[in-house]
Amino acid sequence: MREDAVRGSRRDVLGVVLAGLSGVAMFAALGMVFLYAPREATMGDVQRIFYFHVASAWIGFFAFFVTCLAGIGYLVQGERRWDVLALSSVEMGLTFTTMTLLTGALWARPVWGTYWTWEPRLTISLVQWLIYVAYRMLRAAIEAPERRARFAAVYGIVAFVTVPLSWFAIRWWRTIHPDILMGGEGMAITPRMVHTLVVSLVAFTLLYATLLRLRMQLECAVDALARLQARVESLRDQLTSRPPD
Amino acid sequence: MSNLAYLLFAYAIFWVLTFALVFSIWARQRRLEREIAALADCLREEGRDVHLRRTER
Repeated sequence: MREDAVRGSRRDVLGVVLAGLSGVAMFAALGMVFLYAPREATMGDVQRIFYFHVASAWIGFFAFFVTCLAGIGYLVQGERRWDVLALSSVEMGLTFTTMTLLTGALWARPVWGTYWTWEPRLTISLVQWLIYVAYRMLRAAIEAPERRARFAAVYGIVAFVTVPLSWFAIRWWRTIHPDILMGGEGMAITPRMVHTLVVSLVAFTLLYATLLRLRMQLECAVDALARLQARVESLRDQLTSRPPD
Repeated sequence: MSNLAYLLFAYAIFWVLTFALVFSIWARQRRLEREIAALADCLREEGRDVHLRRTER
């Protein structure tokens, strides 16, 4: 009992530390985006969207990668914790991919002259978003917990194919989307821009870890409540069916 | 819309979505707490009933 309490308080300390670190990192990233990173010569201030846009895209990819790994973990070990991880990570991935799509559209309007164009990277990103929305719908449609977890694990593994497809879309096909790693046309990256991007990536990764942890704790609490309810029901049945002494 | 407006709108979207996610987790947590409280009340009442039945016997 005491060990559980000590472990619980340690867990809370970890949560507080993680939340504090991600908060500090987010404010540092924001400060660097607006005060440290230089104004881009061609696009002007709107280029500053790029730092959080790339960071949220990175977290979207990473979250779906975690879902894929958790799906494999579930199929191999059959433990509920893998399913909880996969479900929680998909929720994070969907939120961050939504950010990527919306911030990308806001960047594209002044730079490309349109909010949206059906070019490969954008189209695949939208399809990816829809595929993971369908993951949530699939989960909601299956009642049996084990069947739901198994189907979701397989779906999460197969759906991950959209991540490398999206990553390589700007290298395999003709596209107007800028490639920040390979350089080329689009924009010139200075060292200050790279520092800002790296800090943004770290901040978003910490934010993802904090939110993922919260979401997983919530799902574990839902499971614990369901177990408790089942136990109460069985005790109630025992009490009502017991013959009088 | 000026370039700066697009920039501010993009960062506003980021914060709105982040807080929406945190709020949705918080709201579900609150619902869970209410269910736990209801379950505890139910258990307390059942316990009292069982105790009464035993003392009657």
